[in-house]
Amino acid sequence: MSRDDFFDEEDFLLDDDLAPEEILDLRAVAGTSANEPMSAEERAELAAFFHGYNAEVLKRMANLWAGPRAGTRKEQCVQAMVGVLADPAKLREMIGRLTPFQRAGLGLLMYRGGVAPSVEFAAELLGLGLPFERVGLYYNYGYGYNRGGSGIGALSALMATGLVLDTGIDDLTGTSRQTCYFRHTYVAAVTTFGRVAPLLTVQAPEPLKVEPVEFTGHGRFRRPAEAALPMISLIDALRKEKEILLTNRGRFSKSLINRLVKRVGLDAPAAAETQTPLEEATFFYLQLLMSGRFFTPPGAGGEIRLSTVVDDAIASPYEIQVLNWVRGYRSLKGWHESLPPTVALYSDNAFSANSIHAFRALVLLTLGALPDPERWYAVQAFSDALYARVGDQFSIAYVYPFYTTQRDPTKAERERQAYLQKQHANWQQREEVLLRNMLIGPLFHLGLVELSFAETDDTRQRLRFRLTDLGRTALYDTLRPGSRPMTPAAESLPSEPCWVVQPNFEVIAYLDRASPAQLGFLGRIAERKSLTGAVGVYSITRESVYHSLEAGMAVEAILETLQAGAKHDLPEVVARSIRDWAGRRERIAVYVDASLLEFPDRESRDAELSRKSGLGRPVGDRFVLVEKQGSAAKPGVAVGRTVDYHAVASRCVRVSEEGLLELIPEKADLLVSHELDAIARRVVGNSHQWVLDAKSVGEASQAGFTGEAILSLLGQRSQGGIPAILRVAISRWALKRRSSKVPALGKVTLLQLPTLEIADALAGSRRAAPYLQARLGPQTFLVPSEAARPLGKLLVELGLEATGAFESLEWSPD
Amino acid sequence: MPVRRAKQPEAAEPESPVVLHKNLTVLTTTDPLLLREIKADKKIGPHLIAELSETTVILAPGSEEAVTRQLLKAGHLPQIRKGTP
Repeated sequence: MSRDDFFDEEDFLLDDDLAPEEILDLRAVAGTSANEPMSAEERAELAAFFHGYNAEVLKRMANLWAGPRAGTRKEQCVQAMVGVLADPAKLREMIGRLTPFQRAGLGLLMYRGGVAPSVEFAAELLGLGLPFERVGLYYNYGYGYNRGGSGIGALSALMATGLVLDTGIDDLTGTSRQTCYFRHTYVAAVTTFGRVAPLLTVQAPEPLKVEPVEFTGHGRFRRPAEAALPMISLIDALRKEKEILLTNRGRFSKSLINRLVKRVGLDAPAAAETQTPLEEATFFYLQLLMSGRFFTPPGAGGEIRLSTVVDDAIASPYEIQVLNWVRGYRSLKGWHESLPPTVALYSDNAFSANSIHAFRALVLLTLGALPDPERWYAVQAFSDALYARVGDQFSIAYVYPFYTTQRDPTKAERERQAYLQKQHANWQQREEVLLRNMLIGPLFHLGLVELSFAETDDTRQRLRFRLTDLGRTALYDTLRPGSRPMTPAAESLPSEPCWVVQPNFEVIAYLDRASPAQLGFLGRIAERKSLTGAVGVYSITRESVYHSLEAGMAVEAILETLQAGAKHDLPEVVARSIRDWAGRRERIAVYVDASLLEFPDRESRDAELSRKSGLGRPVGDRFVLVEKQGSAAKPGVAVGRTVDYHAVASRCVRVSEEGLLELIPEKADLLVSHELDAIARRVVGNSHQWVLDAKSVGEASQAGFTGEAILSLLGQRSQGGIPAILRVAISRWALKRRSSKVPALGKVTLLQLPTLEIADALAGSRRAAPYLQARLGPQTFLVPSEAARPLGKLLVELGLEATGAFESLEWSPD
Repeated sequence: MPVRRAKQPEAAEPESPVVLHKNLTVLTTTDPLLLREIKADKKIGPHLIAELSETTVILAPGSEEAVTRQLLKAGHLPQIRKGTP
């Protein structure tokens, strides 16, 4: 396993701030090897790409790439640049003409995988400590503060060469491409051409001018295993999550974080460390895993899961793992170190956090610029050296430009010195405090630095640090390829006995002897209870063993590995219990997305099973639980009908107005009978019929069904729908309280007239109108009860003596 | 750009009386008494909807998580298998 195995180039294309399709992959545009011939199509593609720049920019770039012979017309410039990229000799010649800063900058970009977030890369370029030619405006008021970070001059100088370009933001705005960082509103990431990559290697930054301090005592540091354990625990806790869903804003939910905090138990002890506290430790490590690309990209519903590389990553040597930790920490978002009082972050503002990311990148790079990686340094001295290197161009807050109206050079110089002193004082209160918090927080907890606290009242002098072996590997040696041999691959590491298994199921692990694979194993089969110095105490529980078995570990492998890592024989009670738990797990099985074959009878089922071995396991009289299948099952027998329970439910019930539910057997599935049983009564003597009535609905209602639920169930199952009157009835039957909206029945008086002529005459009569409520038919009227008598009198008066019992019209509705 | 052909539905064999039920959640036990015990659990029982044999039962769709959680709470250690027995 090498470092490159974990630095998957594709990962670098997936910057959080840009969707992958918006990112320009220049490596693909111009091939990945300087020696490959460039096809005509590639040349055309490249020329089209260069045409996206305006002529002024192209002239400057072509002049650098191809020299004055490039010409001055746009097309000439484009062809000259394509010619350089297509010709390995010309490309080498051009690279040879670059300044040390340009070469080191491009080498650093290659080291970052060919694509780097701009804010981080800009700060790292400053940290190289190499002079560069400043391009255009240097102090940029609009962008200097919290907008891509300060210190943009170095990146602008590199972008002006045309060899480092932004990753495609111009394609979104539709404007001509630019080659200066400060001209952009925001450049998420920068990249370079694939053909350039093989010609460059990473170069160490110029050594910082910082004097080591003499210190022979022992400091505090985290052993590699101690540093790795929180992540192993967190990964193990994440594995127990059924599903990890990000919020709409792409963040971890509070409930998930709370669960993990409780399960991992990191936060309280890490925050309580008096000299080296780490606030919100679980969230820190969670974000570290996220920015270290340990999760898959979110799905459509915001779901993510641990990447498949996780197992290999945490079992690899610490010297390899630490490179991932540094990469994750440098770009870590959402969490930040304890900030100096004069610095405020707006939590939802990505720009606001950029200055912190830039400073992290700067510090991580310049820790690789220490004059001697094995010596101790005072933080104050390191901070001063850092200020001397970048302080006039970089700040996490704002770089105030020096300005004077003095014409007298002596006075002007005096003012400049006063300005520099003020700037330095600000740096000490701001950047130096953040630096100290980085050292005692993440860098200490990741095992990168060893700390010692001098007994002095001067807080600036108190803290000293040096790189641990791990820190040297990750921050110093990595910038000097070949300076020290890499650690052997994980699989070749010997796994010595490093723990003691006690009869009370506790495992005492000696971390200084434990390999990453052994720690990963312990994390999977046991729960970590405590961590004290070089000793970790784990507890083997039924649940922890169960989860490891569910994750695919075999019981014999668990016992063998546990024994291999143990200094003594496993206690009998422990081995027996683990076997017992594994045995209990065999007693119940839940098959999700399983398939069943249903045969008409036992004989045909058994005949098929005897004819076709491996078909599955017989279940009951007529079923076979099919083996080796999924949703695209092909069981190997002739199937007349397939029922997919992920699809829409089969409409296999006829529903009558009377509430008779009749099953259509040839369309039925295995669930429908149960569903009907829940809402209706079976008809005695007929296995395909149910009765749905007030009583059955009332019972279903008592069992928790609402009217809507019953209607929904029937609606999904009914062939031809539910008759409207039954639908009304079900709604009414399911009501637990009588509705106030009930139909009313009453007695009414009808007036029937012998001819249409009389009916029309009466309908048009002003005298009759008060007594007629409605005309129900051509010759029939509805008469309010109280109007019967006066209407009768009117009819008599009009010579229309009513037939029938006139007196009967006098009854009251009540 | 290659044209993707729509997947042809598998030809049914209507003469066959065999029915294939796909994507069900099935719980099996090694012992009928154990299944009876599980069915008697007030929180698990309602999710067990169609008993195929005295050791095999179909779970209500979408209930596998609740059933598994409740089984663990009750001290059982169920194997969770995706599709394959």
